[in-house]
Amino acid sequence: MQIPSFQKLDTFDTIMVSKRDRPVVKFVIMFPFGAEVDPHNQQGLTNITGDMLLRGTKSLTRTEIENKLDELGASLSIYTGFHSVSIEGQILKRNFPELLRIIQTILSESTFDEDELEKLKNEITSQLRHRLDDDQGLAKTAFNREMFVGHTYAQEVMGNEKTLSSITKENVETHFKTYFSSKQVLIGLSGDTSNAMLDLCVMTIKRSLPTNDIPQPNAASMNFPKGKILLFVDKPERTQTHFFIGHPTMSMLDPHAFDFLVYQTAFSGGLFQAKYMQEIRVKRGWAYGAYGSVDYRKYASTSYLYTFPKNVDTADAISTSLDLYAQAREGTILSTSDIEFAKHYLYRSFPFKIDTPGKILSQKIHQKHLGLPEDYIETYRHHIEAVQADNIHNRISDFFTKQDFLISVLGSKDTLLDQLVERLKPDQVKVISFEELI
Amino acid sequence: MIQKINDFQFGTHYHLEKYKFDNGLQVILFPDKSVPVFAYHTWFHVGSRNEREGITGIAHFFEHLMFKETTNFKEGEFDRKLEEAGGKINAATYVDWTFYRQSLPIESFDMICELESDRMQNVILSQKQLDSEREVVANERRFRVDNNPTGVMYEELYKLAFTSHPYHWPVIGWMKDIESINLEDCMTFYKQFYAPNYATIVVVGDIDTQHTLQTIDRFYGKIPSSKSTHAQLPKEKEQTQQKEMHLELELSSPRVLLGYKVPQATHRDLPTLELLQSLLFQGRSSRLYRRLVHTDQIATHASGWVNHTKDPGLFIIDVALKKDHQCEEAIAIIDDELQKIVNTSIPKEELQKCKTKVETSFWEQLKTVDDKAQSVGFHETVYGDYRMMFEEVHQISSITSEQIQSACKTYLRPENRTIIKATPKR
Repeated sequence: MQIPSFQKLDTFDTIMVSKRDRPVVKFVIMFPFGAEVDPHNQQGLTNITGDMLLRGTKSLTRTEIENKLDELGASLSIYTGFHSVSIEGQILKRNFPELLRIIQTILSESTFDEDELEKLKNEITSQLRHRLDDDQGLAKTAFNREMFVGHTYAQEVMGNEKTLSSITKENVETHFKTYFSSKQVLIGLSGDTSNAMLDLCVMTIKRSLPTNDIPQPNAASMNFPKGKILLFVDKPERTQTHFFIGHPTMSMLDPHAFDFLVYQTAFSGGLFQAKYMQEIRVKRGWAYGAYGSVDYRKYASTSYLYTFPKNVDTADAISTSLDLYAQAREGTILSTSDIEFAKHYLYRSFPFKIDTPGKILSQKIHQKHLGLPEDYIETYRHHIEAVQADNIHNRISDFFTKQDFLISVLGSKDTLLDQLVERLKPDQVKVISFEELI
Repeated sequence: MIQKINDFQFGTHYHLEKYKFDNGLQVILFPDKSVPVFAYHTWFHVGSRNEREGITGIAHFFEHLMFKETTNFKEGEFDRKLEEAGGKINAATYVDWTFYRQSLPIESFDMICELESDRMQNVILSQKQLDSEREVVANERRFRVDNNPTGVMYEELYKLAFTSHPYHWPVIGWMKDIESINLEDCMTFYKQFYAPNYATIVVVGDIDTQHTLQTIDRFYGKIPSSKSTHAQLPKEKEQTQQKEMHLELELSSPRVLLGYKVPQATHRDLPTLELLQSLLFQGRSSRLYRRLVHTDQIATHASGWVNHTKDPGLFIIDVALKKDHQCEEAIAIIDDELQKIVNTSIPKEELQKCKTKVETSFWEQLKTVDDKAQSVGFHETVYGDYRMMFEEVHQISSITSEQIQSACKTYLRPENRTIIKATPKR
């Protein structure tokens, strides 16, 4: 499949990936701001403003919007991230023009009804409460809060009970007027598309929104935790723990990002053959899954290992994970053939990154979002091929920290905490109840 | 000998062909030349339905053992070869089936045939392998069930709803059985079910029919079939009264599951029940979603689906309530909405809306080569004919309001359901 480039249409960055085997169109309309512009003590305002667009306009009630979307066979959601808000979904091709009429209505005529706002706040609060049932998610939330303390990345995009309660209709209206401009909006279509459909989409956004400049957020500074920190999230009656161990790492823009990608893939990249999976699951049978990943963000990325052993294996599993990290940093754990293996995997699995128009669209938007070069996908294989094991070994100390590890463990305190403290000898121990995480 | 069983054209882009080998192996080919990759799925007609008390979970356990050593390939070599080739590998087990899936660049076709055919006949089963994987499976159970309220609730739902059919026990198995499955059980299971006459291979992607069939014949053609068994599974007695259980779990707020007994996947009422599901839960304007989440605002989440199974299964409704609401409130609303369907004809526009949503979902399951292989393999294994995935959409387009009302009245009635109510531990 051809990989297209972004094109300027009118003032918009647009991209279209066509394939006509299914009569379905995926669409993305992305705004260049996100939860990072939430005012202090009003975390969740951007998310709520986005969601309120589907809660009623001058000509359509919320119920009518939902009915119309379902009649068209459309899915339409509004996603808020830290740096973007996007209206996206998919629809049968024949109904695309009608969908654009609805999008125009919600962008130009939303009423931000007070009752609907209260309902939405209530719904979000309940959704946050439901997160308490997800042990893996709680351990990860705790990890991010501690890692990015004081920064937007430590917050929930959805806000929390306290900040949500302070958001008013006036706040939402002002936020909408301030930020929802057609300036710098990105438009993407994939699937059974045509130039005429893209033109229509551009016209719709142009007609719907003003062209005002939007304020730029101030990027808060990062103060990453120092030393070995054990953050214990206490939840009663667990027979198993979930833990994340990690630290800040290099961004995708770093000149050595591909070296890191290959090394990280060989070490813990989610493959059965990755060293971490082999050591935790295959050799020791401690957990059903064991993998590492990197969360790439605009301002700071984090690398981590994750697994979920039973209680009695937890201290051993954390200790082993830290040893593996140390060996990874020393360059003693992976051989040249392990690195070549990861290169082969990344090179040869590349077609699966671009095997559907929807995936190409997502990749292109993601790379633009992170500020990656326009030809990132096109040159991906070349970069992987160019990675050399010797160069990696000279750079390993940039990939992994020596001593600043954050260890977030969800489990039952009474069963495990003393044992972990004695075994891991952390520089700092913090204990929170799982209920503090909403 | 390879016999062509049928071929099937859908629209202008999709053409499928089904073949059968002398040893019983079935092969379905679905060419898609748009990307230089392919999906290779091996569907075995075996699942937890083929177990008994004492060895529950063995079908799933076996899925793990299939990634171990064979007489031709050392432990880890299977994964290593496929991952080095850029492949995506996985497997899944359910009540009626077990399948092994790979998506690979097209250059690796011969290799996957060699590896998959090898492990169909040459897995080395030893006590050491069994014991090392037993702990991993037990840990998977802790992850999916014992420390997971959702897992506990679904396990209890099936346990209570089915009393004599094997759908009674969980696919992952009872912990006591996971701990006690022995080598002999595994050997018997392997010999019986991991044979060509229990398998359907589905290949979707950038393939050449002639080469694909020749290669499969080269690697699988000489594998002997096993003696087919058609054990009569115990039939569930008709349910005549509502069953109910209350659990106290580590939950943030109450949650309720309702499982209504419905017929097997091939039954003529299943497409109608699928459309009824759409009417109730598909999209924000669907009746029960809207009522529970938006209008009455007692729930944060409400969903429903029909579990398509070889034998009669369940139409499941799952409602996560807000913290100050009770399961009984949700049940009352569900009963009220179901009664409205039974009593009042469904407006034509609403019916059309549901059909459009089903059409969209149909296309959704055909995005990647892997999606396509999964749909084809599932329909061939559960329905006995892959063409049903296309036929079902056609059938749904002609369903009437009366049919939906009748299906609702017949199946979604209180005495035909099992309810699991879960509330937070105090």
